[in-house]
Amino acid sequence: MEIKDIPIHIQRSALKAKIPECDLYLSKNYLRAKGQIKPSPRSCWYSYEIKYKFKESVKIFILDPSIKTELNGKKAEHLYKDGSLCLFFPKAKEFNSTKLIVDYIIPWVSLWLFFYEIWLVTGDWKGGGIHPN
Amino acid sequence: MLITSDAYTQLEDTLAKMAEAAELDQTRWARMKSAYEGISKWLSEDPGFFGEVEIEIYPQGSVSIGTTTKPYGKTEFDLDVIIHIKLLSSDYEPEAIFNEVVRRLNENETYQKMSESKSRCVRLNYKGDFHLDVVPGCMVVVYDDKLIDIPDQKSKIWLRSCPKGYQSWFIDIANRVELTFLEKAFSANKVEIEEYSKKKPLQRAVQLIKMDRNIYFNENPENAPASIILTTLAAQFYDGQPSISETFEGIISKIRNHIQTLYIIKPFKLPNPVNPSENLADVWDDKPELYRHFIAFIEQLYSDWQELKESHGIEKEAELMKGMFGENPYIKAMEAKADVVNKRRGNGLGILPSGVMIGHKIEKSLPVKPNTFYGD
Repeated sequence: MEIKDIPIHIQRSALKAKIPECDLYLSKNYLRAKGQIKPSPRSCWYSYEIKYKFKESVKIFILDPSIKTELNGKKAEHLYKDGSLCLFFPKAKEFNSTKLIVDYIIPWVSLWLFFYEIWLVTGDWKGGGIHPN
Repeated sequence: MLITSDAYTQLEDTLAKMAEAAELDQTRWARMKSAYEGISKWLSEDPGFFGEVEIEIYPQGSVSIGTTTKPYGKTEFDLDVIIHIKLLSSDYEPEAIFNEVVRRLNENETYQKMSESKSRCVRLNYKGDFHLDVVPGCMVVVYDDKLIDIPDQKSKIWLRSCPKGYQSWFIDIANRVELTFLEKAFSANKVEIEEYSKKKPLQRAVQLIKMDRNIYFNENPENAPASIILTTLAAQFYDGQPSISETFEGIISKIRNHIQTLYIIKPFKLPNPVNPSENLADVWDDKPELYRHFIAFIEQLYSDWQELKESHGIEKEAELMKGMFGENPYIKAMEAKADVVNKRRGNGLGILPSGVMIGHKIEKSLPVKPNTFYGD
């Protein structure tokens, strides 16, 4: 049985239901979600922005505090050139339009931040992953 | 380690893990035990002096009270072991006993190569692991197996000591807490209780204070307050708090108050709890500048701790933690934390709507689905 794409307004209402503080903007095939998140109780709050184009792309940014792209000459890991976060492996369909942003992307943002913080204080990325180049 | 949604527990867990990272690990513990059993065997096989007498060998100091900490920037621990010779000190000259130990150890090529005589001990250097200070001593009276007279070969006198008595004094105080705050947190999080959480808060606090002392006096170790002073003060000012944070806070505040109310200029006396006529802090009477260093250290520790207690975000926290307790222990604690999160990915790891990660499912939590961070 074919798994159906989730209509974008369902993405929106699912986000609103599970994360009521989330600031949402929907226009046709474009959904933008803004909110605050922290991976551990002693972490600072991070403002994030998710830009979702239905069946096209999803981009995740941390707006504040700004993400460090370099530490002691070592480049930050799992960041795209535009500064958005590399959260999943598209070819393996870990996320696509059949899956809910709130169930997949949001927890991954937190997980990414968790490993980002550890990278920041130890110099090592401990979250694993794949580097295409 | 714990994946916790509680800030206080998170701090507690990090402190415990850091102290654990700096203590004598099980491998070295086993090596130390076999080292001193080897010494005991070599002594008792002596065809001369030691062959005729009963000896007992046991650790003293930080090993015996569970407060070992690796010296900052060094690879070797400083450990002490007592050779309790079951002869009365009143029948012997102090240097005669000391010389017998030196003589017998030097008859063994291995020990001879690694030994170095100090004023009250023979130091054996186990490269890469530890220095073992072998401290000989004799019975004071036949009916008390705790009391010991230790030869000081420089001043040629017997020094009264009671390492076993000190050990039970300290351990009894530490054991006022049955279950630590962390053990309870492990249970509440429904995960198997890890060994490091079981060490008593007093022991952890002493380790952390010593770790901080080692860094604070790194450039001038000769100015540092001795471990016995810090350990005795900590135990005396301990009120049985179940968490490391409260214990640390309580001890440092009380030492500070003690100084500020009565002893801003004149050093206080610190009677040995098991031998009250001995002042453990007598060095301050001779060298008042060391007392001033001690006060400055306590003030710094107090203000650093006040800052650390606040939540500043992980980056600032890391800076404070590394500065207070050392970079290596902090990094080890963070690696352990990463490990536990990785083990839980796709296996119970979730987040609260705030993003805070948790290790098991609760109401309104969202599971973290398996993923592969992909991209540069």
